[in-house]
Amino acid sequence: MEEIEARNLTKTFKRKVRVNILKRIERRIYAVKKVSFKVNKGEIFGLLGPNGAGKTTTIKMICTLLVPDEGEAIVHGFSILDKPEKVRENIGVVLAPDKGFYERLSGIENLVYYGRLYGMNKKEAYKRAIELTQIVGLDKDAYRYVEEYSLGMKAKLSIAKSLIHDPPIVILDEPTVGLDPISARRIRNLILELAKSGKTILLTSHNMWEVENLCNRVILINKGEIVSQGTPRQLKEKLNLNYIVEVEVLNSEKVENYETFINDKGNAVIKIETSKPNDTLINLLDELKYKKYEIGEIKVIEPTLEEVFAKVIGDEKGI
Amino acid sequence: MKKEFNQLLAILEVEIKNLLRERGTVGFAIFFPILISLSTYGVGAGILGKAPNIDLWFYQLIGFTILMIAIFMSSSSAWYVRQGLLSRRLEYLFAASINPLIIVAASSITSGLMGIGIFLVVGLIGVLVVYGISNLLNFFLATIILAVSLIPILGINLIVAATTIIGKDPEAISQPLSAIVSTTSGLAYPITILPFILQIIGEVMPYYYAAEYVRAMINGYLNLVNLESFPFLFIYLIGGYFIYRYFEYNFIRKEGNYGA
Repeated sequence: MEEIEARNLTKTFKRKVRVNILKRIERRIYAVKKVSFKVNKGEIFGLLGPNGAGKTTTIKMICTLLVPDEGEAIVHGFSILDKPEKVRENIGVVLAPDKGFYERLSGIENLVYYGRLYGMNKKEAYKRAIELTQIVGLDKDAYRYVEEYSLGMKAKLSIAKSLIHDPPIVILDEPTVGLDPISARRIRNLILELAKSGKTILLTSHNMWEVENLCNRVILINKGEIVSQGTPRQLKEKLNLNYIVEVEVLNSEKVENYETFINDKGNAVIKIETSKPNDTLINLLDELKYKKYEIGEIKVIEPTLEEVFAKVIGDEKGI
Repeated sequence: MKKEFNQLLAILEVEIKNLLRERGTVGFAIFFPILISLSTYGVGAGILGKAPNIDLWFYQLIGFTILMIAIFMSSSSAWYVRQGLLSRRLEYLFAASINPLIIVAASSITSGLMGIGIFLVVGLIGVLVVYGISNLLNFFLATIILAVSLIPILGINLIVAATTIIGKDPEAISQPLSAIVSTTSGLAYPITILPFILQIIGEVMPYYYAAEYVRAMINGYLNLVNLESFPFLFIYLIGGYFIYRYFEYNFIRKEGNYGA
């Protein structure tokens, strides 16, 4: 069952462009052009793209913060155009992980405030806030002013804030941006736990490794349009990106007919780039066995999503 | 309705907590009307060569106090929006299922409560100095009249909030408004001394009525006839709400610039 369905979402903005020293004309620029995708229940879905690609604009339309010029989206069964209030009740959002707080209020006070904005009474909101500070690991710092929080703590508080009304859908815009590796890992674990608990997650990120490891499916956006979509593996396969097969040959510094390099153990390593790693590896091992070489460590290195991104976006930019 | 009330209380509570930390602003707001009314009273004495009627000082004291409240109230929604834009709290408010009227009402009520607090302190000093304890009951009734007459100002604040989100600059909206209100609303002098066009502007603004009703109540000559214009001031509330909604759907949610 789809929790989010975007259908041909399109958004343009007016921008003034100087034609000459005296004249400026207004032009409409496409921020998002006919973007369609579906996010299933319990799925982590990633929006990937360079700066200015249209990721945040897409998210803002789904959050009802922006009205699309064309198209629409159905979120948890409600249209963003006809039932925006219902959509808002069913989503939790993190738009900037370190922003949106009263700095001179404690973490708990901020959470209670947001809980009450979603219609909870003070007692309910407080109970939920305590529960969430424990879930995100902020229970020891819950009563400190937010101005004393580190970036990582604010990011955790942001996620807690997005969960205060227990929404079925959580939308995260760059949830780990600017965080140190430990804090970022904690946030990623938290996102995985949320998905395990049945929440649907829509996230944007610049971190390819993060998207590759977190997301079930991904869309790649550039200049407001979807350029590719699928699981991270499907994206790699679609582009026919090469895998790297490495086979260590023991007690040997050279292998006939193959280019090699010497590893730190002093053994020759055959390195082959291939789009069909299984076939290549079977053939290579057969040949080495036939020639009586002793085989050591074998590695098959998958292309990363970063390579997919570089290929798709780089090709479009002529890089 | 329960949900909306909770939302209103939530914003009100955090805004009051924030405001209470701004002790300097509260102190200035109390001393400003006393200081400026004493100065103009002193200038009057200097020009006339004798002390003018103390009633004139009281007239100005009440006027400048309401001016202070007007400035606070007209700038409250603009600054609330500005702070919301800078901290991106506003974006989260719009992403939550909350009626914008509640947001503006809460920020206006906060500044209105502060204004009434200032009026109670400053007005009490003025009443005791000029009338003694005899007019105290009238003064407390005047405070209630003031609280009610501030309600239509919410409508103006809604328009100020919407234009601040679009224009981004709170000063550009609240300062000219404060200037218009302070010169045309009969706060420091009767509007009858103004050119006709400025009198008209003053008479269509709710601040003029707030000052007039409060003075009349303290002096004990307010009756229902004086209040006949009052219901019409609620046009501001209704008009402000619809103008806000128009701005919201035609500019704010179309452009989506919630962050500064």
